Amino acid sequence: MTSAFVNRLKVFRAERDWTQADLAERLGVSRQTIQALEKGRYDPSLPLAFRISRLFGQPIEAIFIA
Amino acid sequence: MNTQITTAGEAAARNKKKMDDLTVVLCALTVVGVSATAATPFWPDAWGRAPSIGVVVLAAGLAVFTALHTLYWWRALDEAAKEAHKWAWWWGGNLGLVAGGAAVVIAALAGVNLLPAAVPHTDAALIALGVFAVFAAQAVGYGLAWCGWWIARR
Repeated sequence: MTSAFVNRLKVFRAERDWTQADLAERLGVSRQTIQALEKGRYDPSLPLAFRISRLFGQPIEAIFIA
Repeated sequence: MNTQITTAGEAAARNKKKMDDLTVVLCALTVVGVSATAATPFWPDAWGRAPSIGVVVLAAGLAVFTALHTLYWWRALDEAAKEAHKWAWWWGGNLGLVAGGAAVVIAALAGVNLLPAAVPHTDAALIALGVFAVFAAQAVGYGLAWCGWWIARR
């Protein structure tokens, strides 16, 4: 059930002092989805990955690392 | 494909507006359903006594309301929630159907009387029992699979 890659979602979120609920609100997803993403138990779709990338102002490969 | 960053609040507000509008329409339909008591025209004699136009309009409205409400509900879900439902529908629903169907057949072959004593043991009742049992098993399988999907991703 674990993703094939790691992600730095939690790091970028913590840098901004956002809660999971804050990030979920900004991305238009549920907090449960953020939790699954951060734990690496759910891989986002490409559109969601781009939204995350734009929100953090980082390239996708800086957030999701193979 | 929407790749805009929208807040859940905006999307939820739009969705709520649509659902509120639907509810108003349903209330209006209910008024029509109660007040329009004339018999439905062109009702085939073979189908028995014609219901009132209001009841027919209300039933059709409920069907449309349910379909649209489901559509808006589905659109409001995020991608992980949709994935959970799709996974549960396939795995939970299908495994539930197989298990439920097998249980009914095995019980019937073993001579277990599945129908309550008060219900007449007609062919129609037995078919209805089979349909209900399989549907219930699918629903249970769906629910378990949905819970399992989210628990595995906590």
